[in-house]
Amino acid sequence: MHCLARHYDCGYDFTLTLAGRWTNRLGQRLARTENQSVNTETSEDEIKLLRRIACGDREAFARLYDQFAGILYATALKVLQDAKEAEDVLQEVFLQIWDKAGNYDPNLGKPLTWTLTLTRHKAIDRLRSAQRRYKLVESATPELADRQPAGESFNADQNLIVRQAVKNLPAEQRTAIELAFFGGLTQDEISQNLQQPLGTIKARIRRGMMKLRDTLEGKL
Amino acid sequence: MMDERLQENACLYAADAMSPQENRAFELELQGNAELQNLVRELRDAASGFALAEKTVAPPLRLKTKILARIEGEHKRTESFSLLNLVNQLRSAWLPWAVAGGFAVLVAVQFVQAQALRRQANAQALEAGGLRQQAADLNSAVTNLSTQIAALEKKDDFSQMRIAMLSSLLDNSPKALAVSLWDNDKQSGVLVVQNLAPAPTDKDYQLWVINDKYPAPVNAGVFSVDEKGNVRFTFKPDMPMTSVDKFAVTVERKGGVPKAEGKVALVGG
Repeated sequence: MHCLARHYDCGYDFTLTLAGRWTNRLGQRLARTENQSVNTETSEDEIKLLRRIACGDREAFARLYDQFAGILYATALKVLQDAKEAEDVLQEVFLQIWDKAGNYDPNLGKPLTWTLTLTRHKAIDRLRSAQRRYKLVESATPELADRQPAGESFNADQNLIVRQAVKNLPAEQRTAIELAFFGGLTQDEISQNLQQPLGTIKARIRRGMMKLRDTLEGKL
Repeated sequence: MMDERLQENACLYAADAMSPQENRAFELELQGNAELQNLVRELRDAASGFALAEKTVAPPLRLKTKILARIEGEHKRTESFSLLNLVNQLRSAWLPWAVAGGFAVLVAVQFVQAQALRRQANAQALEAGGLRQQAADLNSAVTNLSTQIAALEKKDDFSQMRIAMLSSLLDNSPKALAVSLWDNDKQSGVLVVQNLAPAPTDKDYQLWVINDKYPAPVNAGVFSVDEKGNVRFTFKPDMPMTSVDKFAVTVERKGGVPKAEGKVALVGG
């Protein structure tokens, strides 16, 4: 099937791609001299990379790997708490990206959102099968709410804004969303684990998500 | 302004906090609601902020090599590995033999590379042939379907008839099944239900018709099933329908409600 996907829109804007590639590389080189971890791709560039991958472009695949591997691996690691399993998930995700890049639909979210969803779902599936969910639940209660993210994040330019936005969420809202997002718990399970009424959990998730959406609008 | 329940469901959906059953019911509401789809997209992008705020962890370098090797193809990798072994063995041989061997290796490398390229070309030719065959098969299937549709359209009885299969989302009626026959000309239809567990005494099943033109599902009446879970129900939606995208049955208060709020029992289109 992936052969059909390879033929997805492969003639899309080849000349633009060639012209853009040179300026992109120059831009990337300049950016790298300042900070190796800086992400120079916009989501538009990332969409173009996915289209090239759908056409079997290995260079584009390697670039997307360099771009996303760190954040996707960190996400898998956070869910699974196991380096070996996180590596397996990362490998499965990138092989899936290689096979299914043609299925990516920009209307459903940015490329990073798509790849993060693939990673979380694969990691959460493993977590469920290994029945190790208790680890996250244990660490989710007060410690999770109080913990602040540390170290370099995906994009230095977005670093402060995103961290600040997440940090500014009230602890109970952040905990509820993280249990779903990283822990794969449903609203009922979150309600049971946090020993709070279901209505309270729903309201916390809604308020937190809406606040995050409003804060990060146009900044991701 | 979007109502609070929809907004809340969009948030739960984007945060992955819904059960699979709740997800399916919400996806039904998502269809044909551009405002809701937009909100879900924005919320999903915003939720990625949780991952972005985390410390990035570089995966082991070997992993990238491993993944790139996987996509390069197993056969090519195996050949390269064998060549490496051959070169390592020759390294320990006597010098003249090594020189001669080196020349042989060079020739062998070129030969193997040529073979690999030839194999690659053959594989690509095969793949292209396969794709051409797939395209021909698809064309043939499309032609067949078009012929069948044209034949059906010629029959007056079915010209305006829309047939939809509804499947169960209820845990207590996994085998429940329904077929809806919708006549666009008459603006009415018949729903035939089988194996659906009777609704609780204070509840009724309510049929909804979904169409892009209306922001919410349109009421098509309430019904109950006999003790075997079967019923044949003639319905007429409250609003005129130019076409129908989907049908859904929900469990609602006795006598029905103006706007769907209960659990989705059957859905399909």
